Amino acid sequence: MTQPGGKYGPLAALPLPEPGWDNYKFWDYCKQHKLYLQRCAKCRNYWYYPRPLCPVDQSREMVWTKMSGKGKVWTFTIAHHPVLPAFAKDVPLPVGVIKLDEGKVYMAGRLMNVKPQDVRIGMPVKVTWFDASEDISLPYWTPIRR
Amino acid sequence: MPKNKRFIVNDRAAITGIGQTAFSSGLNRSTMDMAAEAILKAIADAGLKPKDIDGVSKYSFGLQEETENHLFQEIGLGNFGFYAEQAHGGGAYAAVISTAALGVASGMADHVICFRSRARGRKSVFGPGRDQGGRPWEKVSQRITGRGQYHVPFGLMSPVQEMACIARRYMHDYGVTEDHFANVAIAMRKHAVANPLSVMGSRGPISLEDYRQSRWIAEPLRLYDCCIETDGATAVVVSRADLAGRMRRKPALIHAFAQDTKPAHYTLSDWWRWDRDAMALELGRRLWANSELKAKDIKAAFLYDHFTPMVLLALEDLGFCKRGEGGAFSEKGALEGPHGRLPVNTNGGQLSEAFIHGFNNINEAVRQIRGTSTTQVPNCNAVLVAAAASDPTGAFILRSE
Repeated sequence: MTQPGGKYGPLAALPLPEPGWDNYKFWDYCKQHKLYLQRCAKCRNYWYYPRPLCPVDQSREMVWTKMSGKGKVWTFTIAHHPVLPAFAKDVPLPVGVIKLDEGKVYMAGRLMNVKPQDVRIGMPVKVTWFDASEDISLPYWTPIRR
Repeated sequence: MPKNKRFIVNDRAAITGIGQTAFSSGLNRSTMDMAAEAILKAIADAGLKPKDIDGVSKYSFGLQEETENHLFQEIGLGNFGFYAEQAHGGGAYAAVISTAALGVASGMADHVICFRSRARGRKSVFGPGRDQGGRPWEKVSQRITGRGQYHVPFGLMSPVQEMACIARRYMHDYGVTEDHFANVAIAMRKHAVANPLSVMGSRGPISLEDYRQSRWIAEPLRLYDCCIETDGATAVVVSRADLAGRMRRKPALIHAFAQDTKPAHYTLSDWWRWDRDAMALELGRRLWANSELKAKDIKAAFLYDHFTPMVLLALEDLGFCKRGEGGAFSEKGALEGPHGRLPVNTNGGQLSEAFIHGFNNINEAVRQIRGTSTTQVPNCNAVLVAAAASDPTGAFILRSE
């Protein structure tokens, strides 16, 4: 995951996921602008991030399930230090954790179309898609009225 | 007799030697070189010779340049009858000591060396050298294979940003405020000012107004909420308690210890889905079950202060106050030594002394038991040391006689 930054310098482009066996379906759905998460057929809990088995009952019946794409801001930060050059133009950047409407399942994500000072815990949001590359679309979150 | 009657290693080991290098934002030294200095000083402090060391307990986050085996050969250690390693960084340091205590209590070794060495100061990290190129979280590749792929592409990537999210929810749920976080920062700086070996002490104390004026790093966390990054190494010798009484220094008996595993803060997606309250308190429950002491018996606490809110959470987790009361507990100088209600990190901690992954807090805990701290708590006969609650974690209690 790391490379000797001294030689190559910090990464200029947006870092992107490299799908693997446990999660390629999630990213495939994202590419189609669809939010699908795994749901355990036994305990009916939703899970994110993708994983091969359910932590509650160790079931491997993890069914890819279409989500409403709606949730609420559970917590957030306003990042003032960009860390990577890719985010330099975006700071102060609101980023946080979304609790999805379907239940006790949370996703870290970037908040779009909202001024940093207007972000609140409990704010309703819906997923919006950013086509980052030929193979990757990232789920972002944008406020909605309810 | 502790409540947990199967815990049979109370007071069977002691910290008998401590050593450290200078702490600085840049020493121009390798982590191996610094580790060697701290280790040899700790051995000398214990009144031992390198050949007397027959065990090692260490972190999985090791030296930057060499394997630890190479280090041990370089400084004349070896023939270890006990060789142990604990996973993770800020979460591991208490368990490094309790593992060493198990090593000597079980009869596998007489004297176990424990250490941590880091070259992470600004001058050591930024530049074109092999081990430079920025902070670890800045050195990401174009494609991310691990769990980082669920947060790094969104710009949520450094520890402070993750802890800021946890802090925001903590404030929301319990009414904790930024001024409560300031109480931690102000106390740590006060302790550092008294400690001539600290990195931040020479800058003088900070006020609430200084805190409020400091710049945002990741809201709600400001510059003064964040630990410093430094170069330096510290080491301790853990010995059989029956030998410790005849050694050079007053022993700090390792009275009790415990470990726990928390939900991973990494990606934050699992952090809140478990019963946080029940899980967070488990380390404290285990520790007190293994101990003859109670929270009220503890004269000073050493809590992992990588970011200020985590000290307040640790006070709750370890039973010094109830869930959600960490902020209120910190008021009126409660965390400030020598006379506060519960002096915390009397060396200045990771916020103001140095960031040696918590290990420098252990040396200070021993100084409190010896009575040699620069912010000495009166009659300090029992202290608690706890690691970061955001990783696999642990805690232990030291006491005199």
